[in-house]
Amino acid sequence: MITAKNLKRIYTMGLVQVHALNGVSIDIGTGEFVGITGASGSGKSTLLHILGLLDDPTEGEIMIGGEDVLGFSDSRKGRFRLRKFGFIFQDYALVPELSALENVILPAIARGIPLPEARASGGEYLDRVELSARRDHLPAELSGGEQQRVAIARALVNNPDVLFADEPCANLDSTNSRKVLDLFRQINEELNQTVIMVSHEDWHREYFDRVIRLRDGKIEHEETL
Amino acid sequence: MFENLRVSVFLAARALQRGGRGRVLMNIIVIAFVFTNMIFLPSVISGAVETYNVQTIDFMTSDIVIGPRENERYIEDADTLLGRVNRIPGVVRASARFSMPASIDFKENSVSIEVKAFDPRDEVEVTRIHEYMKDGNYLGSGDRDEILLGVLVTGHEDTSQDFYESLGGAAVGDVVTVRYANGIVREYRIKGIVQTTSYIADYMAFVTADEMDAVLGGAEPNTRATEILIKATDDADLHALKRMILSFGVGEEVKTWEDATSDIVAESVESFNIINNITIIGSLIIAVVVIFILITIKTFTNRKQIGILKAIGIQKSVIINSYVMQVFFICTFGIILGLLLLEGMVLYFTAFPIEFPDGTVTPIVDVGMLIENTLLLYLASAVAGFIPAWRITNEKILDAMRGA
Ligand SMILES: Nc1ncnc2c1ncn2[C@@H]1O[C@H](COP(=O)(O)OP(=O)(O)O)[C@@H](O)[C@H]1O
Ligand SMILES: [Mg+2]
Repeated sequence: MITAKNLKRIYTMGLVQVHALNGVSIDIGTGEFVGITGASGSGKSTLLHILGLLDDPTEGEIMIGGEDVLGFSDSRKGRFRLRKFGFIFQDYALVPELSALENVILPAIARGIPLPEARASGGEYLDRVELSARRDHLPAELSGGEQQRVAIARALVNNPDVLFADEPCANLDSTNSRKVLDLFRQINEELNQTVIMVSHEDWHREYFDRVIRLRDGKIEHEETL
Repeated sequence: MFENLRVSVFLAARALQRGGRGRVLMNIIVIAFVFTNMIFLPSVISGAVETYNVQTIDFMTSDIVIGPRENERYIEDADTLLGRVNRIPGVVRASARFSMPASIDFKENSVSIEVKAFDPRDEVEVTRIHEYMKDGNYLGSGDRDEILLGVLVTGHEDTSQDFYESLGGAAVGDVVTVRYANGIVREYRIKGIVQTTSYIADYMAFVTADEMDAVLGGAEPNTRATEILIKATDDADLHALKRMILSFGVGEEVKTWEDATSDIVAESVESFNIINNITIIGSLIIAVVVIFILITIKTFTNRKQIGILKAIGIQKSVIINSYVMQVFFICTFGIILGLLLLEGMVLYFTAFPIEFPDGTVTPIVDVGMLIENTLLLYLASAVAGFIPAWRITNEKILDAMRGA
């Protein structure tokens, strides 16, 4: 599904160069639930962003579904993300001017799904994350856990091939964290969606098929569970 | 294409609904004022020009005016010319005028003026002076020892209130002494006083053509004229009519009222147009700056949101369009509000016209100008909204998402 070779990402800050990624190669199969762990600053987010086509590597190549995606134009990358990827960020990243339901259906209507259909499937996903009662609330009126569940529904609405999640539970208590992870597990199993999730909580391991541990921008350890 | 527009509309609508309604309302009001400003002054100036033009036709030149040939003082054989002009299709009536310099004395006051003579039966068909009698009556065709004076000629008893030399408040029935340039001195009873709103028309003195014949004292009635005023039918094309008059072998100077309008007036209309253009450009600059600031602030505070939208896979153009649509919304309602304001102002000033030294002015809103300025405002605002939106959407996704 995703094959990345020798990914490097160098940030230049004045005279200092930070090697956020320093030669990472990775192979992720369809339907895998992959955990990326490592200390803070080890390059987890950078890797996730590059695999998710949100950032370009300084060096290296990425093939997704047999396509050399790094050669795509920005707008083609955008369309690719819209159709094939779902994203969940640590800080939820909801659009504050849109209600819960509107946030969820935005990727669907951007894909051209007719509004009634988009609303119906958006409603189903909100149901799934147990937020039907809050569909018309704005993000500011929701708790952190609720916002993250809205973000998950949004990430799922286009039925993506790959779900990218960057520390989705970092701001949640353990009950809410479990809800989120159970949901990931379910969709991964039911729909055979690939899930790539960054986490530095040890107990999350029980959900992963495979764990990749980074250290200083390199893979330190890889383990199939 | 259609899908993209749909998403832009969706984002724009929610942003307007939930992204600071107060600010949106304030911007609508600013655009309304800008629009009103763009239209109102030009409409007053159009109104002033129109007032002047109507006065010129009604009191000064009628539709077409014939003057003497170059280097000549008189139109010779005016009776024959009059007969000929009166037969041209499209001509309602022609009136010959003969003027002679004179001084008019009343008590200790004296006014130097050209006394104009006409046949009242012709004159009432070509000018509207007779409809503006302040006092007394208009001249009748047989009148011999009577004179018609403009209100500025008779003036006030306290002459310091008069702008020109005046007769110090002479009234209908008073007798004035007229000393003509040819030496003839006559006594006339003031038959009527004219007040037209045009200060040029109100500084005139008229006697009948019969009286002027007597003043000139020839054996035959006078056949000369200093000008011939021609009233055309309402639907007549004045330029075509002028050409026709010339083709009938009239060798004199033939001018439409527009040709006859002095260069000074043409020049002041020109200066007014420059002022109008400056007003419009100034208004547009205000609109551009306001919209630019609005969208710059909006896109800057929405940096993170724009990053999120791009991360999800919403196209840049969709995001930019959503901001341009918000601008269009603000413009549309601003212009509608501006039109209402304008309509209110026009209604007000139609009921209570603006008093100008040379008559009263009602603003005239030109539809062409309205459309042109509306389009200009849209265009300027679209550009002013597009640029900041375009700048922010070009930011890298992750940089934007980290932003506030
Ligand atoms: N935009 C940036 N500019 C400069 N340095 C960055 C930037 N983003 C990340 N880094 C650096 O790259 C390294 C890896 O960062 P990141 O991938 O965010 O780590 P993690 O997610 O594992 O905590 C860190 O040293 C971080 O300081
Ligand atoms: Mg991170």
